[in-house]
Amino acid sequence: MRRTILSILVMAGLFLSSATALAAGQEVEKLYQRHCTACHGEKGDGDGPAAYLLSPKPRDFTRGVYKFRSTPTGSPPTDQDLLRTLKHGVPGTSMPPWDRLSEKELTDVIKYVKSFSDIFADQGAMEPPIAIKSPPRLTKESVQAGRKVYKEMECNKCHGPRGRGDGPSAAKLTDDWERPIRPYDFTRGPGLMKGGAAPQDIYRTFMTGLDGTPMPSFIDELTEKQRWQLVHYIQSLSPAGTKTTAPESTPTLRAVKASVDPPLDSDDPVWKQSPATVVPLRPLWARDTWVDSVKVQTVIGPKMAAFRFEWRDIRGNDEVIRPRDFRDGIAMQYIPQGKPSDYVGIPFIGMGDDKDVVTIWHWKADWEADMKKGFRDVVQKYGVTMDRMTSPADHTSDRIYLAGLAAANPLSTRQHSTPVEVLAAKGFGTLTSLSATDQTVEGRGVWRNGVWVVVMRQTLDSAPALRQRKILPVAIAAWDGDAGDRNGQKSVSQWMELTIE
Amino acid sequence: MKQVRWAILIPICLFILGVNAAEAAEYAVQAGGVKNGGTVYGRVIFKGTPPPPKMMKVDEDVATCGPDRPSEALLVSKSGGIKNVVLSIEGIQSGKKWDFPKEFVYDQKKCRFVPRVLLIKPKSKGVVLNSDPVGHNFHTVSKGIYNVNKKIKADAKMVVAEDKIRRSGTVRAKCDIHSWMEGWWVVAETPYTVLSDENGNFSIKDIPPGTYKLKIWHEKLGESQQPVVIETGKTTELSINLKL
Repeated sequence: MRRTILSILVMAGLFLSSATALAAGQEVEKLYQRHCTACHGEKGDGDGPAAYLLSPKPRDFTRGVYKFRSTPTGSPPTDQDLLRTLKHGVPGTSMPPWDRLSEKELTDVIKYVKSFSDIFADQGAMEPPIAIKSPPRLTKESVQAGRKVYKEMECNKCHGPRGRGDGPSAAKLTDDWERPIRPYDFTRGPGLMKGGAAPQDIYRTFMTGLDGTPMPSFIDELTEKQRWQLVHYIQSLSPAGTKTTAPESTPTLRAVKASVDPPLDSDDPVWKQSPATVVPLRPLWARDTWVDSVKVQTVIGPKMAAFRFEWRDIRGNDEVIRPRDFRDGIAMQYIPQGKPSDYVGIPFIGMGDDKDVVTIWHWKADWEADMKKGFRDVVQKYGVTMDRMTSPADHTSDRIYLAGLAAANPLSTRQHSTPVEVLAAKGFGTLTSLSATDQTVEGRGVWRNGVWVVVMRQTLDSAPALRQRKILPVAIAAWDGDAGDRNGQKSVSQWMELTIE
Repeated sequence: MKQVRWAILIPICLFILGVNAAEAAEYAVQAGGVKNGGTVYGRVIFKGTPPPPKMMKVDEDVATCGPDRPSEALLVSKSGGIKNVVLSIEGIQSGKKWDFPKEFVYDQKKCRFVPRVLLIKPKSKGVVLNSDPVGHNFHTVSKGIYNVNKKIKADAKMVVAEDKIRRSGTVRAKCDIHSWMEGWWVVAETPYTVLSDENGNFSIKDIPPGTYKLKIWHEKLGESQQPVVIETGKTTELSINLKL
């Protein structure tokens, strides 16, 4: 009898432990599906539905080839390496920092990501990390010597004679997926160095190489002394010199309560008293310049809540008449319902998911201009009348040629009552404009001396979450019309917490 | 107590079996030895007129690498034989031992991979040389078989350790400095794998009698297969036509 009980216990124990393992497996699968699938794909092949909007492309996990490692070329990364990439994101790309997921969740995701390639189970392929000692002091001499190493190692062939990423081979480089890829321009500064900008990080990058890219490993080519000389020279190419920026982390926004309702006027003193957060944005399609940060303020009055956004844009684009014209814009998404406290409980950053609807306020520079200056198109702007549209008087009523207007498409209207479009989405590709009666967000934007300042405002009755909640998940997107930004070509933030006092 | 003992023993047995299965899977053919096996002798021929080779622009280290050169992706002899076609017989359960060289040598000479197509077995060890007075970025691309990118300076070499080439398949070699450099490592699945010579000729020996699939791979002409019948002690002659 005792034996039977024992064996039942053993069996039950085995069953329970495998059941909990299974449940944990489903949990992490859900986590991956919620936050990673849109870009990295359900099968981990880097071909999710949003991948076409991104450059550089999301990693294809199935090959087991990783750029950011502490291990020699050909060897898979350590868990620590993957954790570093997850926590800090990859600067200058669409991969955001996931620093608000718990260490446990990140570890689980790493396990899941590793399961896409059998290289992690291959003892022969695994090699220990390359040891990195503490760096020697940078001197004029070490920089000079490093310059020689740079040339001897032919770094200039890709990165250029002055480190601008313009060497003779630069234009022809492709990654392992045959996609064009650019060598880093060191003069862009340390903030965008994907492998990290601390001396040890630079050392690691050229020792390991960035597998899957044309950047090779130099592990057998240099003496220890030469390696640090090269690090020093690379540092000297950066305008920030040896200053290194801390890895990016996700900021928190703070809303303040005011006794009077916040005005649309961005110069109003209320904005001087409310705390501002600089929100880093990342381009979905990498390029030289993008809206890299937005200063955000939030004030909640007795009946109204307002957000003030301020960002640098060398040229204001508020006219979209020619086919090559695109507007500037700013948008904010938040989750009107649901639990807000962590990433697990929030939907995917790219416009929510099927469980959680996100609300989006999108301010558009050209709508604002239409309101101020009156609607303009080719006729008003250039006096040009198109074929068959014989006169301006004629074509405004010719509904055959104005199908959008005829179908009462809210985006085709010529009389905007607000420059802000309110939308809802529950997942990538589901963006929907709300009906005319729900277009209740007001906005006002001013472009002055290379800076846009936009205020968006809504009544608390229409946005009850801003009244009821203490923490609200919020994310920001910005479009630079000059750079051809439109729709999914934009810069975005990660989800942030807006804490309401 | 009996049940408990089994509960421990069964997983241990499975574990041992699993390990054995994994090791066996590394090589598809059991080295049982073959007596009086058959031979395939054949020739791979290009059907039609081969297109003129693409000229590869040599615009880097010209002093070492030489002038622009025709691509060697498709090499057809005057009589139509295709070089560098990989032929392998699939479906042999037990057969000859691997007779591949113990160690391979892959060279980079005048900014060219020598040989262009290298035939090796999984877990081969070898060395990649740089015989040029300029550096090369030896960069391999594969689906998880062997992916490295290593700078090999002038007259230096890189050692490939035994367990690095993980399984059979194709690995593309390139140099990121010299964009025209192209090479292939074909990691054979069975010892019954050969490369065609410059006249398109090949022969595969010591094949146990039976009906098999002959797999044909060429970097530019792609993959195809055809049936092949092997009789004891006899030579089967084959003529294989490939086209673009």
